[in-house]
Amino acid sequence: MIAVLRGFPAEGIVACFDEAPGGGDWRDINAPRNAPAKNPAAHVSRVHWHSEFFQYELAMPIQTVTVEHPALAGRSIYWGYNLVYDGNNPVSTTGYLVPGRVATASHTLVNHGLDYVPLAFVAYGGRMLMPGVAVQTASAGRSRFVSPYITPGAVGLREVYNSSSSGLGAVSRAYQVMVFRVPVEDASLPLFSGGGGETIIGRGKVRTSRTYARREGGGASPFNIDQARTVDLNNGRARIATGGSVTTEAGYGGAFTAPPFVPVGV
Amino acid sequence: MGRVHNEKPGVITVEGDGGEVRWSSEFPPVNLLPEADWIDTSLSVAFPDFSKFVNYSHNRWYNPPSWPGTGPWRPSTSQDTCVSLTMIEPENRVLGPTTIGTIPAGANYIDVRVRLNRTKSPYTFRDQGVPPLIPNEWVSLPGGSCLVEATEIWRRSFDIVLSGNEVQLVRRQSVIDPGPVSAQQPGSPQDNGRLPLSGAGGDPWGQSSYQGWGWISGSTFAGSYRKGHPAALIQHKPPSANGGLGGDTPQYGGKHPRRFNACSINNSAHDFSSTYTGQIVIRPGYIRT
Repeated sequence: MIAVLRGFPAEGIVACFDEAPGGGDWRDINAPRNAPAKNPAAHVSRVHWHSEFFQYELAMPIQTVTVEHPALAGRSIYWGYNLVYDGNNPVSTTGYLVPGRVATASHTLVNHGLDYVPLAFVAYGGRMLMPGVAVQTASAGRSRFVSPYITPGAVGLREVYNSSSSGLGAVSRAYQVMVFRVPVEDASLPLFSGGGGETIIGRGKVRTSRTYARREGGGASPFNIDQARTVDLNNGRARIATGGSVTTEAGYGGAFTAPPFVPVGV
Repeated sequence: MGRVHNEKPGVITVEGDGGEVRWSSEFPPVNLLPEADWIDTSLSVAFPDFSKFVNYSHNRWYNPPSWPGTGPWRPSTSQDTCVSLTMIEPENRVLGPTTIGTIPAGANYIDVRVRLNRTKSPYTFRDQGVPPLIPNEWVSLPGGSCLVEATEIWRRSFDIVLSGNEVQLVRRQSVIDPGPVSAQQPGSPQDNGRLPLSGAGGDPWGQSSYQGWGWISGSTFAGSYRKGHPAALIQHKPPSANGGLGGDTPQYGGKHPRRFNACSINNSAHDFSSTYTGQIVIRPGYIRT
């Protein structure tokens, strides 16, 4: 395929695409060859970029943030009685020892200052984090689950963690945060221009001074975009598969495999 | 300043000042389709209650008094107690799919973001609330998947997935299998169905000391082992307060499930279903692979 970059000022469109069959005048947006520019949603497989599409524009350099996750004491209480005394002699009885406690906390990872809710990816251990990933596990069901979230001001991390009869220790975890704005057209900017110190395409949707999420040159990166579901549950436990790698909780009994993914770089 | 060129034949490249590839027709950007193709709608994700049953512990021990005294009022060491629990059974359940909307044919990627508030919480699990794993803020779902609840025994998740050009919701909930009775700690509520009852039909009237857990069918102990996890306390009645004859002197078997002062076996308040409601925005896109 030979890619072309064409602008159609009358329609306010600029696009980078592989031509469709049928030929015609290359300057005419109605020519069959320009169909991907005229109707991109119907020819997505031929479109590399289109001014009507939206891209992920990196809003700030990738941030690495370390979070100090707190400890949680263990707990044991009884429903019923552990021991009942017959005179001075303990007689065991059948209460139930209720183990553990649960707690939540939130942490600010990055203040992005965009004043709207952008897209943000958070990675841990070289893998994309989706809501509910365990970043710490210990015996007897002790776990720490984290979920990235986004507000108009910040990218945050919520954690839900639990102990058993034994406590859950404090841990330190490093996260990488990638924040994207979604650029929109600015009518005051040109459709295509090389002036003003940078090249601008699509009235500001693309600027050569900016960085965009794009297909990586090859191999996995911490920001692989998965193209199907990434979580499976079986036997009360989860398997999480992202970027071609699986993380399996002890006890999981299924056979879920990683979905296809696209490594993304900037 | 950056530039756009096709120095490599057939390849369009957008470069930054230092020659960095911003994107090119070889390494194209992640493209989201125009806003008219987005799905912005309300979403309700409901998880049903688990399968449950009731476990009952009855304990009585009666030892001939060894303390001083004679006659019917001498101290007795007989005691009688009960505990009843709601148990959750193991399961693996997939619910759906439910169609949320459609996107243009050819799109091979969806950017999924949700903001959900839990509008129905599960009953407390072992006296602890079950906090949702996601806050009531916008969260991005890479691949469309989201774990929403995790306890020592269960997980709940949902997926927003593409099936052709249809966007579907699938819910999953799973409870761990506790394994065979041989894996349970003797005397624990998980070790139920192994009562050393010797009276007719397991009725304790007139029997001597015994103790144990059993699961309840109808209004009395049922038989064999039943897999489950203690989840919530229904009732506990302590020893020597069963209102039997002689004040604190217990009446034999008074807290046995068949007797007048039994613990409740009504666990209708223990509803572990949950529902998350809010907004979902799906931006279909295309990634050249």
